Order: sequence, then structure tokens, then C-alpha cells
Amino acid sequence: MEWYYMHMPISGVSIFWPGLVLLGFGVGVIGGFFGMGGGWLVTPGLNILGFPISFAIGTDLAQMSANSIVSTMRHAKFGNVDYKLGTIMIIGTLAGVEMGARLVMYLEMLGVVGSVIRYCYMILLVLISWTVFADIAKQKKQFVVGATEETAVGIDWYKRLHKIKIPPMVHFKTAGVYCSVWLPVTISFFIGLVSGTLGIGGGLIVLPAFIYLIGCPTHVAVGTSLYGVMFSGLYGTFTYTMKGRTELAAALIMILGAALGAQIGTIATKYIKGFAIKYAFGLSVIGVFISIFLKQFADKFPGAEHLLLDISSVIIFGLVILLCTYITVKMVQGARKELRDKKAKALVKKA
Amino acid sequence: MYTTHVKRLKLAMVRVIALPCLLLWFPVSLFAGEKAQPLNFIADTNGLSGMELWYANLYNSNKFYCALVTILVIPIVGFILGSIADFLISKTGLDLKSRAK
Repeated sequence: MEWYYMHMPISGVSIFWPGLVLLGFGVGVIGGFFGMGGGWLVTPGLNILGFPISFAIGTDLAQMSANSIVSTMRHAKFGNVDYKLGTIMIIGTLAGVEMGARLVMYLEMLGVVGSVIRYCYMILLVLISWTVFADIAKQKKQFVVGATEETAVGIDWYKRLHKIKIPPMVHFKTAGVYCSVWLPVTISFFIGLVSGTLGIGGGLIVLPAFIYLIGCPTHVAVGTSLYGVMFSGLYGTFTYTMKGRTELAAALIMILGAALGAQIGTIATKYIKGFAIKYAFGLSVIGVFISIFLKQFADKFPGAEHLLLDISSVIIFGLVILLCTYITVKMVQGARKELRDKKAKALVKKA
Repeated sequence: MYTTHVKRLKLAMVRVIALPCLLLWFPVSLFAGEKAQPLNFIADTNGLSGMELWYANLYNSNKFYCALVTILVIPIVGFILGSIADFLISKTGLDLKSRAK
């Protein structure tokens, strides 16, 4: 076996390990930036690298819990984490993750786990991308009447949900939200259910849920989301390992890349703001959708099966490379400007 | 007033519960096959040594301890590597404590 392939003892497959490091780095950058573990990229990514789908989910949950620890440490220093909201969300999420994991085992027994998970992914991705672009469109319409990017109001479903005042009521200071405690608990349960079923730490759903259903500012949503993903990822890892579906060696290799990537992604949130984040997020969701769609229907076209699978792989890895490059370049540009300004201020002070 | 809120909440709950159930169960009914037994994997220990061999044996003998070890190793490695990366980034001179530009 060539040196760049590594035998995975539990799943029994040989994996191109530099691909794992790159996937880890990419998902670290993207995860730290968007406030998620990056499972929406990692699960299909690992599946494409050669892991069976249930191993891809377990391994993905393991690496994302480590990845979110790194990103949460950095976001906490920026003051972006609402611990009270995050802790309440954990309770509902854990119950949901367990239900989701049991559902996956049941689907595996039926022999339909791969296709069902990919179908659910596709539906979820369509709903999320629609929400993001509808939000942008709603905000842009207000520009005509003189609103700016800061003052324009997007999708505000949270306003209606805040009117449901079932006690106990709770005030989340960092997020600036006052609502019934049952709102985050209920939302987090369904986040956990989808997360445990699809093998995503929940960030893909948590971020829009925090912004559109709870009413958090985007940067607090990112930090608090990662805080929750850290725990749901660890719980997901535990439950998937108990069921024998985690490849620790692969997760550790991915963490090597993710540790550095998460720092870059998190710091980039200082420099990239507003619509740029939403556009990047919405477009990446569409990319993942196209990739999974091609993978799901590849076997329906026997002559073009390999071509469609190759295109699917190219889209996933192309997406990771594009987003990483964009975030890293913006982070470096922002950092250079900050250092230049700092130097100039020091010179003025000296003078 | 309170009754109205409860009614609204109930309606919202029904919608929130119904949608994921439909999303999850509709594809199942389309693709459901014959009932089968859960799949059990055995780690291949051939050619393994040291920590890898120990972990693979633990996986084969006791999934609970294996899961405990996994959720201890993952955050520890994450924390150590994260702290190293944090230290390296802090050397750049960037302000890493505030979001203001």
C-alpha cells in the first residue's frame, strides 16, 4: 500500500490521509467562520474519501467536537458566546441527538440509511438556502426606502415567537433576547434530532435558528452555536462509538488540520461582515445540495455513474477550497490592515 | 390572553413536530426493505501495534469503555492543538479580544 494511504482498522477501508488533513483544515476555517462543526461538508467528504456513511457520521461528529472546542475558545475571547442560551440549548439537543442516532441504526437495519440520509439532507439544504436568500432579498428591498445594511430588517420570525410568553421567561444578556425558556428548548430538540440523524453537529441548522427563530445577532449566534456544537458533538461521538461507528484515527488526523483552520475562520469574522457572510453561506449550501443530488441519482444513469460521482467530489472539494481561500484571503487582508493601522497609531503617539 | 398564547403554542408545536416527522418518514416508506439485524463491526488488529492495537482491542471487547476513551481523547487533543494554534496566532500582534475594526 502506498504511503499516502492509511488502513482504518475499524471500518476496514484504506483512506487517502492527506485528504483527511485538508478536509480538517477546510472544515476548521469554514466551521470557525460560520459557527458550525462543518458536518454538512465532512459527512459527504468522508463518504467520498471512502468511509461507509454511518462511519462518516460518527467520525465527523468526533472531529467536529474537537474543532468546535478550538473555535469556541477563540470566540469566547471575543465575547461572542451567550453561555446561558447555549447551555439551555444543550439539554434539548442531547435528547434529540439520541433519538436521531437510534433512527440511523434503524435505517441501517432496513438497509436504506444512505439514500434516506441523502434525501433528508437535500430537503434541509433547500429549506436553508431558501431562508438565507429570502432574508437577503427582504433586506435589499428596504434599501430603496433608504435603509442601510445595518438598519434593514430581514426575516424576523423570532418576533412572533417572542410573543409566546409561557413561563418561565428568561433574559439572555449577551444575545439581548428575552423569551420563554421553552422556545430554545423546543428548537434545540429538533436541531438535535436532525443533527443526530444527518451526522451534523447542528451548526447548519443552529445558525439560521439562532438568527431567525431566537433573534440573536449574527456574531453571538456564531459563538453560541459553536459552544452548543461542542457538547452535541461529544455526545454524538459517545453514542456513535457505543454503536461502533467512529474511526478515532481518522478524527485525530483531521483535528491536526482543523486546529489551525478554526483559528483562521474565527478571526476572519472580525473582518468579514454583513451580506458577505450570508451570500457565502447560502452559496455553499447550494453547492452541497448539488453534490448530494448527483451522488444520489448517479446509479440511475449507468453510463455516466462515475462521471457524476466525480463531479460530486469535485463540487464538495472545490467548495471547501473556494470558501477557504476566500475566508483566508479576507482574514489576511484584514489582519494586515489592522497591523498597519496599529503601527501608524504608534508612530503618531510617538511623534 | 393566556389561553390564546397556549393555543398558538399548541398549533406551533403541532407544525414543528409534523414537519420533521414527514421529512423523515416519507422517504423511509418509499425505500423500506425487509427487516434485518444490526450490523456489528470487528476491528482488524492485523499489523497494528502500540496505542492503535490497544484501542482496536478495546473496541472489540468493550464499546462502553471505548466510547469513554474516545470522548476523553477528542477534547484533550482538541484543547492541546487549539492552545498551540492560539499561542502561534497571538504572536502575530493582532487584537484577539475585541471585534472592533
